[in-house]
Amino acid sequence: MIDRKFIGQRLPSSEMTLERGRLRFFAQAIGETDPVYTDLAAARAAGYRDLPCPPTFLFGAELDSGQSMALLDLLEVPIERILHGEQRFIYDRPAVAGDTITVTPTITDIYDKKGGALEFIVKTMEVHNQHGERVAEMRTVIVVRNH
Amino acid sequence: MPAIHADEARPAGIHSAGVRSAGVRSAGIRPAGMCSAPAPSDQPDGQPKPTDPVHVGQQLPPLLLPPVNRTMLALFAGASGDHNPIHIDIDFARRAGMPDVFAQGMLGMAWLCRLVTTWLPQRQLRQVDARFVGITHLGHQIRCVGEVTEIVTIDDERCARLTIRTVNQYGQTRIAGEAVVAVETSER
Repeated sequence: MIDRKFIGQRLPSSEMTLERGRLRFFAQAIGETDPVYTDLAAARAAGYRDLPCPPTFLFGAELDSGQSMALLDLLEVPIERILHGEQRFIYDRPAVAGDTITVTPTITDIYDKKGGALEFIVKTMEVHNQHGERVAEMRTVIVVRNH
Repeated sequence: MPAIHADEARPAGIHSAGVRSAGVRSAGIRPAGMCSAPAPSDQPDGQPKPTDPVHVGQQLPPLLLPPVNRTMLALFAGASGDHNPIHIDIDFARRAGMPDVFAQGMLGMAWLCRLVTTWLPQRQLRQVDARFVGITHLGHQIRCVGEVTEIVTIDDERCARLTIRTVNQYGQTRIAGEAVVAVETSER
């Protein structure tokens, strides 16, 4: 069982600079066809300063930094037992290529179901840009399959 | 929990996903042999017209993806930063008790966001929620569908609340969720 003492614990922040090339790679990987996400002129015509960050790309900041894996180590959860249960994004303002975002996570809940066969880790992440403005909030529910 | 064993074919479902007049958009990554848009549409880009305001019951033009294959999963791993080997390394997946690699949940959620942002611009997207109810396996051909369920005012903004989901070719929902999209102009 995961130690409940971690509920409420703030975790180290992750910083990520949004790069045009990476955003284009992401757009390609999800089959995106809207040129706003790959063509700078189209992005600017749509009112963006640069290529916009697609809605779910923000989730990758913690993956890139290694914080997602560090959380599993901290909670002593083997990666092969986890599944992504739920995901929420709340958006305040766009982020575009050239912005540097900071993601600050907190473990907001840990609970179990089915007599502990399934455990749930809830992590809430605040996303701010380089001006200190909130870009988004993310909430992740990780399911741990205990055998 | 992902319904790992629930992949028995149920041929009926996918046609009841609910499309009225809108055409089917296909994904950019389209292998040979995939069907193309079957229905003509008077709103090919799905944008609401002034004479056709967003209304409860409105269906979004569905988004049809090519069948999930290993290349898609490898590219998404690199692009998204999700390097969990369970999605790209069959040996690891089998040691973890899975029959094979399977799609990252966030790949399906990215597709759902494409469904919404093709309908209305991303700058109007306020919130999106996803519940990963069943695993998206190799070979699953995903259709993203959405419907306006409510028009609400949130923070002085008129917003549409949508139900959105991904459905495979057997009619099984893989991801179920909601989105909130501003439907009147707002500076953000």
